[in-house]
Amino acid sequence: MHRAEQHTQQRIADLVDACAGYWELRGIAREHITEMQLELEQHLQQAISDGKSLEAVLGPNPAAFAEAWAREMHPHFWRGGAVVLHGLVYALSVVSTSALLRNCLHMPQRLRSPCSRRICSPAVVCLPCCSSWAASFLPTSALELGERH
Amino acid sequence: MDTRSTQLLKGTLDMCLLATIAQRPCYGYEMVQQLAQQGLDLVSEGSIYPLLSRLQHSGYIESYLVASRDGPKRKYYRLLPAGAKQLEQWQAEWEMFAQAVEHILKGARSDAQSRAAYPTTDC
Repeated sequence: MHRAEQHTQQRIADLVDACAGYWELRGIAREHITEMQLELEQHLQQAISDGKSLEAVLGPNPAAFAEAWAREMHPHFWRGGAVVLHGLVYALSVVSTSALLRNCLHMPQRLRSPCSRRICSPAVVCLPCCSSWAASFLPTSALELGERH
Repeated sequence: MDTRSTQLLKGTLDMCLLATIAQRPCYGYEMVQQLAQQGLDLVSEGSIYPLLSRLQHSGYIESYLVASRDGPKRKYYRLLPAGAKQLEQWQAEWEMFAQAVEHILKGARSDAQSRAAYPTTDC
């Protein structure tokens, strides 16, 4: 096998794996993911053997392709969304509890937010800080398909 | 930016896929090839898969695996009775729509011809 061909095969395998990882994150059943992987891999292989590019199959944004297919598979829940939601709820509860305690204890100092760039008032929950902090829990590797190569 | 033909194909791709499958059961890559033979080139070939999943969930098509001599099993799609009925309805809607557009375009063409024959200052 030529080096270029090996590289293409590796790219196909990486793309299919990344899509499968994303679909798993989106809560699609394992047996469906296996079928989708197989179908995608066969299509990519045939397209390459016909002289087409991987982009001709997946478009300019493979993550958008993976998401479009996932949406139509009617997953039971979005695991990534659940992680963000749990993170947000936790962050909000921590910040609001701290704010409440400080107010109760008459402590006028300002509370530093998790992102350390913005200062939150003790009485006000700073949603942008909390959401950016909570978003750091979301795995991003599956969303960076386009930047892998 | 998408061309007009890309936009038109996006809006009718599910119908085209259903019509392709209605001719004979086929797998994803075959559908893309058949569309290309008819002059419909997809910007991203993979865009058929979300639509195939939607058609399958709607009960218009079903998939089945076929053993392949030179590799793993291949997923084929075939039309279901509900799909045949839906395709008839979509075809009727498309014909009405295409007729209406054709009618408007014919009107515009004949207006342009009469304006060329009898030029006036009016719009």
